[in-house]
Amino acid sequence: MTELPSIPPPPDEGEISSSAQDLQWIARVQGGDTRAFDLLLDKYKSRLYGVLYNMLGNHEDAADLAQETFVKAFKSIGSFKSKANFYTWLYRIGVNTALNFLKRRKEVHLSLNEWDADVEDEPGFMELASKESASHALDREELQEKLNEALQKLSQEHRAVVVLHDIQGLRHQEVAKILGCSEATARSRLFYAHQQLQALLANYL
Amino acid sequence: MTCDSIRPFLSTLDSLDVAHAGRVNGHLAACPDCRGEVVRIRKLRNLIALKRHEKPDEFFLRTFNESFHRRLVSEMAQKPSFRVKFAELAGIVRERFGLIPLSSAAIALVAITVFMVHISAPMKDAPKPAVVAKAAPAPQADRSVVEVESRLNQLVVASRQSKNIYVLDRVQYEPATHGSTVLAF
Repeated sequence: MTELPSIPPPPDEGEISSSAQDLQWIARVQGGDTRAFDLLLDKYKSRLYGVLYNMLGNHEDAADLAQETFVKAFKSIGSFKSKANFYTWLYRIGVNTALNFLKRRKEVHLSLNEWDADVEDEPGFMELASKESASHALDREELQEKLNEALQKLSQEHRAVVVLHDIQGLRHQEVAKILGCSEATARSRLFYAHQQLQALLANYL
Repeated sequence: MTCDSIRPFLSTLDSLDVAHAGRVNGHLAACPDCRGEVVRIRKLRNLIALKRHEKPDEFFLRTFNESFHRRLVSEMAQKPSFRVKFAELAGIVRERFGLIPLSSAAIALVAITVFMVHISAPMKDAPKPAVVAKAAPAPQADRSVVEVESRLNQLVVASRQSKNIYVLDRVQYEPATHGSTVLAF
């Protein structure tokens, strides 16, 4: 059979699956040591912010909802069961908070965050840079804008699957759990989202 | 398998189970169009993956914990509304026992409410019995009791008409302990 190009593995899988330490911290919080919650904040604030930023498209809303999500998580941490993954539970609260917020939001304004230096090592970036170099340099800001716009044009459900699976690198089973749907539904949503994104980003593919 | 039936699996090629992977790979080996689609999806995912490198600014990360604590203290100081309390209770029930018992409890609550409303409506409209206060309910509605009740009602009507209501206040009615009902005036 012809060899097919490989699809990049999910990022930071080792880090995100280290739930044993999370459970220790959660047990401390449940036992009354609320300072242990700061350890969970430090570990997950960037990641949760990333989910919300890509769901909402701008920094202000993402920052506000990240705090709201952690407040909700803190208030209901007593009901957290050790058999669950903390980040799956936290993301579920975060995504539901974002979906409720999006239902109420009337105006959308997009804002861009800085890319870190590691972006230049990404296969997607290198591919584009080599394609563009013949005529003109790759306009990073324009690319970022196009990516954000394309993502915001997806329906909320489709966007959530792309954010959780393609950007956050979660498995379909985890995506399904967070979104409260079946794994087959999550896969199907990803397929339709990819179809739309291919059309929206055709110039870069 | 046709191209149309294969395409939904191409977005998730890296995580298919063995059975599906075998069928999809079998199709891809013979179909250049679907192989081209796999390449396009791979490029798209690489492009989307660039978004992993968008980071919040340092100020946000540095001040996040402090802002969180301020907000938490402020929210904890507020008294939760009934709606919030109810939602929390429903959340706990759902978390501990699952969705089905929660739904069953909600349906049972609605059914009980409807039933209570239904039975209370005719009770409000029903005419009040002539004698209510002193007479204990009869354990069995035998003929003698019916007769006594009928007689009492007649007396009530008669005494009201003659304004001798005080007479009825001393009526003792104990059908369960006496073979025959005694009316003491």
